[in-house]
Amino acid sequence: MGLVEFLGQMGRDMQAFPFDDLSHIARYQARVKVNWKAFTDAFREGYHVAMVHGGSIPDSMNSPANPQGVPVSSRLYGSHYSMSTWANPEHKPTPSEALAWKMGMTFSPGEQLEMGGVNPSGDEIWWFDMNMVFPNFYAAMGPGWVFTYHFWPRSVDETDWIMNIYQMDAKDYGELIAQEHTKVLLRDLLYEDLSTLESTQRGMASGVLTELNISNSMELSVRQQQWVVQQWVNGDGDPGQV
Amino acid sequence: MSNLLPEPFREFESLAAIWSCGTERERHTVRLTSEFEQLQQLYDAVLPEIERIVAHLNQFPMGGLPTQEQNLLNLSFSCMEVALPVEAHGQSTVPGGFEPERFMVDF
Repeated sequence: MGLVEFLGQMGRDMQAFPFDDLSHIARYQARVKVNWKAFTDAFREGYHVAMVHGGSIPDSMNSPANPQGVPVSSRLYGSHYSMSTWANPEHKPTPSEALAWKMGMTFSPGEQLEMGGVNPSGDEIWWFDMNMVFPNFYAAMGPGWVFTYHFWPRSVDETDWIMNIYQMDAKDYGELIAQEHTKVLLRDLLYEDLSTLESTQRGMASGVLTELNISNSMELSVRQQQWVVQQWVNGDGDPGQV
Repeated sequence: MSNLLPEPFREFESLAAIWSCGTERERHTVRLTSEFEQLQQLYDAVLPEIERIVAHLNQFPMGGLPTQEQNLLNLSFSCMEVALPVEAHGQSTVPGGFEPERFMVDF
């Protein structure tokens, strides 16, 4: 099966995105002490943002109107998944963030460039799409930027993680400095994610909890992954496009 | 000793001596190993001047900065490097974050 066929509708929904107009601005790597499936679970939901990133981006994806950052839409594409996140219309940018948006763009809710290949459900209040390509590739796509994760399992409780960041080519030095804001903001958020994931792994490994509840609405894709992995492990293969 | 920065920005010479690093990895390392007060000094001095800096840099073509202007751009990048620590963290590292020595910055 070729990549286009494997991606199916998810690939078609992204096809109009102007990937060629983006520059590769950063790459980060770490070996993280967490199971690869638990790792990807963390990026199959948005509610962790209010807690894990509550200090660094306190009002981007959540507010009293949407305290848990409930996503605006989700799409199941067979083995793959896509979710569109809510952006708080009342978000208050920090001084550096406001400056980045004045000079160019950064990763935070701000001016929305009109472009194809994102927001496939046409949501009115939209920040970015979280796309999970089975089994181990993630691409967050927003209005003018993309960041990706590769997850490479090392052992049952260790994963090599690689992050790449891309943003619209800088046409002047202001846009170039704004790209730096994107990098640092995302990098610091990942410091928060990776330490939380290792805590999650330690918690699971302790064996104190024998079961975990999975939310139907907030963790739809966590359920999906459980099922899809079983399909593949049992030799039933790709469940096909839904 | 020759100046690091172009004439209109000489007020930032002492900051440039610390912060005008040529790669993201170096800027991040300086941030992680500096006292928070040093991050605050850079932020307070340079952030309000970024637009004046950009107006100066935009006189030159992209990718074609003389050495002093390149130092000025690198200083501006470092200002962004310290922005989130100053605006949110209140410390040089990420509170409760992953260990920096295990986090590889490739560029």
